[in-house]
Amino acid sequence: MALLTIENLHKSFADQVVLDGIDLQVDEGEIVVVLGPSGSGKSTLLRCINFLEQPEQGQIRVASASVDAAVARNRDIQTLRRQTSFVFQNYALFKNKTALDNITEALTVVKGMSAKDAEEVGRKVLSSVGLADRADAWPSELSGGQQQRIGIGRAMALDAPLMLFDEPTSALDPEKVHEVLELMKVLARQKRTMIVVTHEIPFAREVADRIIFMDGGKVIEQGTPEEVLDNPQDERTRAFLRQVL
Amino acid sequence: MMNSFDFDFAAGLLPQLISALPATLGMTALATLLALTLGMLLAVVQVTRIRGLNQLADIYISFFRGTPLLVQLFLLYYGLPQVFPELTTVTAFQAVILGLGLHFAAYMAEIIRAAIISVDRSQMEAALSVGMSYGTAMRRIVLPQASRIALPGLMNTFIDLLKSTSLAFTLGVAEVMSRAQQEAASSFNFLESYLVLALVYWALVVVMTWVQKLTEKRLGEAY
Ligand SMILES: Nc1ncnc2c1ncn2[C@@H]1O[C@H](COP(=O)(O)OP(=O)(O)OP(=O)(O)O)[C@@H](O)[C@H]1O
Ligand SMILES: [Mg+2]
Repeated sequence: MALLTIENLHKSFADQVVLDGIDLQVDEGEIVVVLGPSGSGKSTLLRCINFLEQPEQGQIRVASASVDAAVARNRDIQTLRRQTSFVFQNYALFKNKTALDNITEALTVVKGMSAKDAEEVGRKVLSSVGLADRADAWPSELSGGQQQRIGIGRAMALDAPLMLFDEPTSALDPEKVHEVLELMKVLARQKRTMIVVTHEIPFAREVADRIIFMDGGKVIEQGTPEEVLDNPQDERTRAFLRQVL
Repeated sequence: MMNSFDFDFAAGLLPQLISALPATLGMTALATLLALTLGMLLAVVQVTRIRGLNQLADIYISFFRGTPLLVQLFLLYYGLPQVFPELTTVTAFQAVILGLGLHFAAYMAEIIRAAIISVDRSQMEAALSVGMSYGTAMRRIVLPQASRIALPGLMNTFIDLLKSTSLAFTLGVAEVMSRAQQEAASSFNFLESYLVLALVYWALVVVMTWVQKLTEKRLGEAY
């Protein structure tokens, strides 16, 4: 069953069309990897799904939440956001919060958990991202890889139906990429529904149920990793893959 | 021949000035509270660009930065009661608090606004992405980070405000400046009077600066 449905999504910046009528369905438990050249609109697509960018037109449904971009009200947007969690390229940890508090903040403030319950969840999440011993560290005291694992932990703890990842490893030193990808594979095995924008082709091949290739604000082609990576149909996909492989 | 410095007079004046300090400190504290609250509101209005209010905030800041504090105090205390007779019941003490509060709110608004803008946009986005409302995100994530950036500037303004309470003597408030002025006038010991007065202000500012250092350290521990 479709967990996410996007219909005819349009987004422009000034007079530049960035998303040009995107249609997309993602099933519950499905892992979708989005590929595409720089500027093709991948980040914008993810950011529109939780309204960090406001699309001009289109329908977005996630689980029980549904928003029509043309008439989106703040309350609907917030309901939609609570169906998703987001992992940022630059981690975007709350700089005024410790590692543990980064994870528990939304649990208490948004989900209304007691401080004690939130801390329990927080510590559990910290150990599942391998940072139980850094609970009291400030973000500035953590390496990029550690920060991103906290960023993923923050998203995991929300337990939202859909997780969105925007190039979670591309700001990392090569030797730290591995630790973050391994963590994401764990999430994939738990059958969390995920949309991942990444340039890590081996990861996509191993983890993705479906790969989507975007260019110029459109979905050019999609299919299983074998179909898209080994037998690309569109010339633009082939050109892209020649460059990254 | 030059008069020699009258140490006994100076030593005797100090306790007198200290006894007038509560008025100075009271005006400082209440005006700061008003300036900070109003400054914060003005800054948030400007950052969120609330239509209509935003323009009002611009005009407010422009006026209160664009005219001398003393003129504003006279306008408030002597001028407005001519139009609104109810205002004649406002004491000079209250008028100074109001005047200083309104005036320095404009400066604090600018400092706070700049500090909010300097917090990376991704902080707000991350807060929204975990489901916070804009207001909650502002309160829990952005403003705490902005406060660290704003602190040195706000402290400057605060010190400026403290010293500006000396203008209250022109409205007849019995604070340290007016006490020193009286003593100077009746004894002709101008140098002693104003020097001791200057030292009293200086001591206050030194204490504040010390508090600022401690606060900066505490707010900075996350960075
Ligand atoms: N806030 C913005 N204001 C103006 N233009 C923007 C904004 N955000 C993105 N764009 C433009 O929209 C287009 C798509 O950007 P987007 O970030 O979605 O691409 P992307 O596929 O994620 O690229 P990359 O692989 O480099 O991250 C680009 O041309 C970009 O310059
Ligand atoms: Mg991008």
